Parts: sequence; structure tokens; C-alpha cells
Amino acid sequence: MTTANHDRAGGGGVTAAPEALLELRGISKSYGQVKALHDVSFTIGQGETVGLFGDNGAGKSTLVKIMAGVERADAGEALWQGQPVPLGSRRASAALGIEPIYQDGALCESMPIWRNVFLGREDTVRGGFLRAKSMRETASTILRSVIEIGAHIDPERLVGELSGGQRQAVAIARAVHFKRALLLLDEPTSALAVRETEALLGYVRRLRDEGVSSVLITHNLHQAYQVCERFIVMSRGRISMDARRGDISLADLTGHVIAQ
Amino acid sequence: MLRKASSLVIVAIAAITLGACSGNTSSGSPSAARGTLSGAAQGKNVTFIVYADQSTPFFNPVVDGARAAAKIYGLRLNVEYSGSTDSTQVNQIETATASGVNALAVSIPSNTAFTKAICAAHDKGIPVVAFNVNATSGPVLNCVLSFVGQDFEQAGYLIAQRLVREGKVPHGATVFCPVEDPTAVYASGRMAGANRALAAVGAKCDEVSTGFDLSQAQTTETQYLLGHRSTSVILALGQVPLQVAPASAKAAHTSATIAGFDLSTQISDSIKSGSILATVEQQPYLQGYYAVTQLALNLAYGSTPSDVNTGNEIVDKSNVGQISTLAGTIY
Amino acid sequence: MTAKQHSPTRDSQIGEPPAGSSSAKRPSGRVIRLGRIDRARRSSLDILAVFVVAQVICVIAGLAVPGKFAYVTEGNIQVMLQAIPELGIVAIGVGLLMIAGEFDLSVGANYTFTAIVMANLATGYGVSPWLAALTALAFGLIIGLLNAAVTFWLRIPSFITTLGSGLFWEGFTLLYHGAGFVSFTPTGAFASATSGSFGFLEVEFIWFAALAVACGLLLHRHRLGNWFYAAGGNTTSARAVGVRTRRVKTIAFAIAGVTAALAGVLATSRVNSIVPGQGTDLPLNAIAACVIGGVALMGGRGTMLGIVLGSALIYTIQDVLLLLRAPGFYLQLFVGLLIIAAAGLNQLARGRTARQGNG
Repeated sequence: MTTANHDRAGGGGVTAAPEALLELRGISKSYGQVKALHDVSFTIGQGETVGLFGDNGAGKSTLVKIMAGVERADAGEALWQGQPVPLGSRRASAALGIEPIYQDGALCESMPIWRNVFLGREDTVRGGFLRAKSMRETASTILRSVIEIGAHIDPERLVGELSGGQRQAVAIARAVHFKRALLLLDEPTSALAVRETEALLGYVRRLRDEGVSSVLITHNLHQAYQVCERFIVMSRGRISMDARRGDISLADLTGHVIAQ
Repeated sequence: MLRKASSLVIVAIAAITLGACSGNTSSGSPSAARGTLSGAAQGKNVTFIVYADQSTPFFNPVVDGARAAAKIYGLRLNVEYSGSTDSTQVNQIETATASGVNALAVSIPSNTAFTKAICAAHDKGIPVVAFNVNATSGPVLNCVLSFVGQDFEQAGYLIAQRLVREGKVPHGATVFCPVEDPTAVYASGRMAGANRALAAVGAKCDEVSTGFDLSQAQTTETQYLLGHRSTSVILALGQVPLQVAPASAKAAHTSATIAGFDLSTQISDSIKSGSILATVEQQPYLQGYYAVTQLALNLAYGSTPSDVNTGNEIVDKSNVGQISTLAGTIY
Repeated sequence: MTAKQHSPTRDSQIGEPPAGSSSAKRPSGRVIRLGRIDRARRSSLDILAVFVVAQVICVIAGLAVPGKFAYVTEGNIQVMLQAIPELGIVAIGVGLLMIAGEFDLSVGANYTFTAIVMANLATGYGVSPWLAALTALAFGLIIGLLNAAVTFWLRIPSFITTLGSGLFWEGFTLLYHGAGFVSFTPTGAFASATSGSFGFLEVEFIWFAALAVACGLLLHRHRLGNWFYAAGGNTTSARAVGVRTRRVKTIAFAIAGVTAALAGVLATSRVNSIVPGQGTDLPLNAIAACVIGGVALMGGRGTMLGIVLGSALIYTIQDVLLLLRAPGFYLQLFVGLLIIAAAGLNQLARGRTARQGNG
């Protein structure tokens, strides 16, 4: 089961392939002698949740970093909604609406939640002074939208008082609020307890309804199968499988991944 | 009287120097080799080590005096600061000795710490003159040719005695004695002398550290005076606390008598206006000047240096105008 | 943004609120819900409480036995209003920079050097005191910017950079000027503006208060302040969301430089004289004032109120000791002990708050 399978538009899929959001063509990247990515191409659709699998060293993190703009590809191009775009910097990716979600949420522990939510995108009056009241209220709204954690949490609380899962949830909620188009989650549940994991996955599942795409790197196939509509398996810098959920069973997926 | 003797010495040296300089020709010619002062000591290296931090104001005029004398005799003067650290000064002495310096001027605030280094220099044939403060006993005295300086203890005694004589010190009073750094040599010397004079009326010094920062010193003094309402005499043991004493007294609404040590433009103005009664001028310029002059003469002629007490002059309203110009470097 | 439906089953909660937090069982000490008040500012309320208590005790004692404890006298209040700003103005700059995650140990050398430049220009070259003072502030700004440049280009910790630059400017002062006193005796409007008083109110204190208000607004109500906290609290996270941490820290370095110079201008105007070697304990005292006031050494935490109160408290400690006739020789000893005690109490209070809501 090692044949590469670039099957994308499958007739047996539960849903039709969504509109393309980000298309990568021929992406390659080397670190010194080591070639991390060989000519990788695939497309992420609008509101699509993509699971990215593969063993360590397969190139998943590198690919995601290139999408985030943290690393620059050596070769290849990218198209955003059909238009060619440079993916050379964090700023460029951010401008498109690509947002990486870190395990600690990229939040500042010593600051209250509302200040974190609006960090870098503060709501201000002319001259740069904060509309604190409005931001606090919006932060409350955002927290409530992540219903399960929001109900009890005061936006004044310091981020340092939140658990890991809560922080990621805040980061995701922030991304959704600011209308980010594509979220990148690298092993979001690896440090979380079971209940927190369930909750986070539930939240990720709802992203589709918001029209937000996401790429989820994970080792837990079972979780991913529940949450993602698309599965991409990588091995040694190449894509070895790209399938929709309707086209493949969990067992087959597992088998394919293990065999890499 | 001592001051007159000192003045005579200055005049004598100046006369010789002027005479010598007027006959100066290139060092290669026979007339130069025959012993013009500048010719004989010209180009010799003298290391001058100050036992203080570079920014301590008291030593500015000392170094100025040293430089002036060095210029007259064509000496190469190397001024170093040991920042009141014994080990640093020992290193500096040993380095100078090892590098073959021709003469050395140094303060000796300890009877033992510098004996080895100084005597090693002496044994190597390097003439050593002590200035500003000398050891009181010990073998180090045998390795030093002379001492040029003032007697801090005597200075303290003189000014305090003046205050007592004029009836400014009530019996059993506590005299406010602010000082930059109580551990400094000049501080302990002056206070010891002052206490000796104050004992006559059963009074003594209450010593308070003000630091070297003028503004903070003024704050500290004001706070002290507010808390010690019965203070009738302020005897500032150093330039910084003396300079800010009138303003501190004013801020604390007290009319204490103010006296102290050292001179500056502001202190001089305060004496003229009457807010400071008197100060002791210890002629720091002469310390540096004489120390280097003696070494120059020793290098040129082999003449033997002798102790010079640069004196303690009480400066008050009667002579402040005259002293300000004579003292050399006033800021 | 579509509204969310309530999830029908409650078991998809993202974890319980962490143990010990506000909605779980709470240790009976802190029952009061401070709600709207920035939780991070709770530590500054602690220092405020300490300060108020201390002042109340002092005032009562001063009124009760004015002969023995001259706290509530015109002279004492006047000197307090003159002296607190000398430390406080520097502490404001140092504190902002600490919140942004960096240190400036060169403020003492800055204070001295810029004041000497000003005095030399005014006294030696007859330049107008206003222009001379502005030049001093400009040099202060340059020193701050240089600190930033060296820290970032050479990638060395600011603690080391400014330790070195402090020594550099100290030495440079002696090189440029020598070791003598310079007098500085402005008159007229400048003198009134920098060392006069409006009845009771000393002008230095007005400068301090105005600066505290302005920087307080910047820190707590402006987005730049938000970036200060972020840059100091977690530089990586801040960068990840696009905050330009270097630029933000550079601004903080600049503020620290200018405030140090301003303090020098005011102090020199007060005593009409300046000499090298001043301000040597200024950097550490400023840091101490900030730490007592709740600014974290590691950055990301602190309030303007805390910085102001920390400075006032240090001053008050010395004042009380002198007024009570503590043995003069041991003044430093007592002040040092009390600084440690005050900072320690502050840490305990913060530890209490943090433990309650530890994720």
C-alpha cells in the first residue's frame, strides 16, 4: 500500500469538493543536505478541515511552517483563491488570513484575556488609545461563543490562569473573530487531558460552519477521522495519500499510515 | 607662620625654575648637560597614585598641582586612581616598579598594606614621596623619602576649636557632622580632631553619611535637621555636604551655625554672604605641587625631599576674597 | 459571525476551570470579586494599601507628637515633594522599560553626563538655560537609543549593555569635562519652572505627577502600553501575533534615557551645581522602587501607580528613619533591610493571587 494516490475529486465522497482556498504547487524545501519536502502539491478548500499525518521527519511541520510564512520554500508556488501569492513571510501569510495556532495559544500569560485577544489588533480611537470597554465586551462575546469555557470566564482573568486547552480555545476563538481564513494546528491535543481534547476537537469541527479552513497535524487517527473531511498522509517529504473521508475507512487509513 | 615659610619655599623654587628655564637649550648641548633643571629631569617618568575614585572632587586640585609641577620640570606624569581599594593600589605600585618608573608619589593610608610594594620600589632605587596621608608607624616609613600633606586631625581640631572659642557650641550639644563617606581617610581624621576640640564643652559629632550626590545630600541634611530641631552647629566634614548645608538649613527653617572643610565657588560665596561661618582650606594644590617638585629635584640633583605640611588655613569672611584667588583651582 | 448554538451535551467542555480558581472552592482569604479591575493591577493595590497605612501611621504620629516626629511640618512636606521626584522620574522610565522586558543600568551616568553638558553650555558658553536643558534631554534620548541599538544588533542582554554603557558614559564624562564642579544658576522663568514652588506645591513634584499621568495613560490606556506588556511578558507570543517587539522596546529605552536626563536637569537646578560621580546609586534604587511597587524583574507586569508608590515608599523609609533619629551611621543598613522586606511582602501578595488561579 505504498503507491502514491493523488485522488482528489472522488465520486464517492460525502460532499463535493469545496472551492479552492489555498493551492500549493511543487513546493520543495531543503535544510542543508536534507531534503524535507519534494515537490509537494495539494489544495485546501474553503471551510475544509484537513488532517495531516505522517511519521516524524515526514515533512508535516515544515509544510505547515511554509504555509504560515515562518519558513520559506526553496521552490514552488502558491495560489490563494486562484491568485498567485508570495508565501515568503509571516506578515504575508497573516495578510492572507493564515494563522498558526500554537499549543500555548501564543498568548502572554501575565496579561488578561481581553488584552491578549486584541494584541496587535487593538481596537483604538484616533491616537491609539484603547477602546477598553468595547474590547472587554467583545472578548466576553468571543469567550461565550466558545460556549463551554466561556460561560465562567471573566475576560479580565490572566491567561496564565487558563489551562492549555482553554488557551488554545481562546486562540482559535480569536482567530475566528478576526476572520482568519485558514488555521494551522500542530498537535493541538498532545498535551491535553481527555476531556479537554474532546472539547477542542468539537470546536475544530465547528470551524467549518464558520467557513474557516484548518489543517490539523496529529498522530491520533481516531480523533482525526471524526473531525477532518480530508486526510493527507506524508512520507519522507512527499504526499503519499490524499483522500476524502467518504472514500476511505478508518481502518484503511490506519493501515496506510502505519505502512509508511 | 608656617604659611609664610611655605610661601618662601614656593618663591625660591619659582626663582630657580625661572632662571633655569631662561637658559634652556637643546639637551645635547654642553650648557644643558651642565645642569639646567629641566634638562636634568626632562622626560623622566613619575607615577602619581591617588587613593580615591577619579571623580572625588577633593583631589582635583591635588592633581592639578602635580601636573603644574610636572610641566615645569618636563616630567612625564602618569596619574592613576586606586578608588580607595588597597589591592588596586598595591597592583599599581608594583606595576609602576616593574615598568621601571623613575619616581613614585603615593598616599599611604595604612601602616601595613603597602609596605611590601613601596619598599620593593625603594630597594630598586626608585624615590618615593608620600602625599595627602601617611602611615603613622611601621617599616614603610623607612622606604619613603618625605611626606607632603595636611594633617586631617589637626584641621578638624582647628575648626572645631574656633567654634568652641566663639561660643557657638552649647555645653553637651550634639554637633551634626555630615560627610560624603564616613570610611574615607579624611573623614575619620577630621572627625577625630573635631571631637577632640568639642570634648572641651562636652560635645561630640553625630556623623551621617550623605553620599557624593549634591541633591541627595541636601535632602538627607534637611531631613536630619527637621528631626533634630535642637541642632545648633553643623560641621560638614567634606565639600559636598558643606556646599549644600546652607540650603538644607534654610529648608529646615533652622538657624544653626555652619562650618566645614574645603573650598568651592559656592562655599566661598556662602562665606561672603554669611551663611557659612568658616571653612578649612587644606591647600590641596600644594600637595600635588610639592610632592612632584621634590621628586623632580631629587631626580635632577639628588636633593633630599623633606616633610612639608601644606597647612590648614581657616577661611572666613575676613580673608575669603584673598584666598579664593591664591588657592589656585577653585570651581 | 454566526451565533453559536448551545451544545446539547455538557460533556464537551474544554476542561473544568482549573482547581483553585475563582469559580471553584476558594481559600477563604480572597472572597471579594474585583471584577472589572484588571487582575494584574491587584498587586499595585497591595502596595497602595501598604503605602496608605504607612502614611496614615506617620501622619497620626506626626500630629500626636510633633516635637518628636516632625512628619507633618512644612519643611518635611517641602523636602518630600522635592526629593521623591528625583528618584520617581527615573523610576518611571526604568519601570516602563522593565515592563517591556529590558533593563537600564546607565541612568545614573546618563543623569550626570547630560546635566554636566547642560551646566557647561549655560555657565560656560552663556547658552539659554532652556536650550541647554533641551540639549541635555536630547543627549538623554541618544543614550537611550544607543542602548537599544547595541542590545539588539549585538544581541546581548540589556543588563550587560547598560552596565557597560553606564561605565562608558561615566568615563566619558571625566574625559570630556574632568572632575570639577560646574555651577548652574539659572534665573527667571527657567528657575521657577524647574525648582520653584507654587505655595505649597514644589515644581519638581508637578513635573513628576505630569509625567506619571502621561506615562500611565500610555501604559494602561494606549495600545503601545499593551505592546509593552506583551513584549516583556512573552516576546515570542507577541512576535507571533505581529507586534514589533524591537521597535516597542526601543521606544521604552528612549523613554528611560529622557527621564534620566530630566531628573538630572531638575536636580541640578535645585542645588545649582553638578559634578561627576553623581547618581551612582540611582539605577539600583530605581529598580528597587519598581520592584517594591510590583514591577516584575522578568517583565510583563507592573503598574504606574506601583512605580510611583514604590519611589515614594523608599523616600518615606529614609525620611522616617532620619526624623526618628535612627543612628546616622546605620541609615543604609535600615533602608536596605526595609527595601527587602517591602519587596518580599509584595511577592507574597502576588504569590497568593497567582496560586488562586493557576492554570
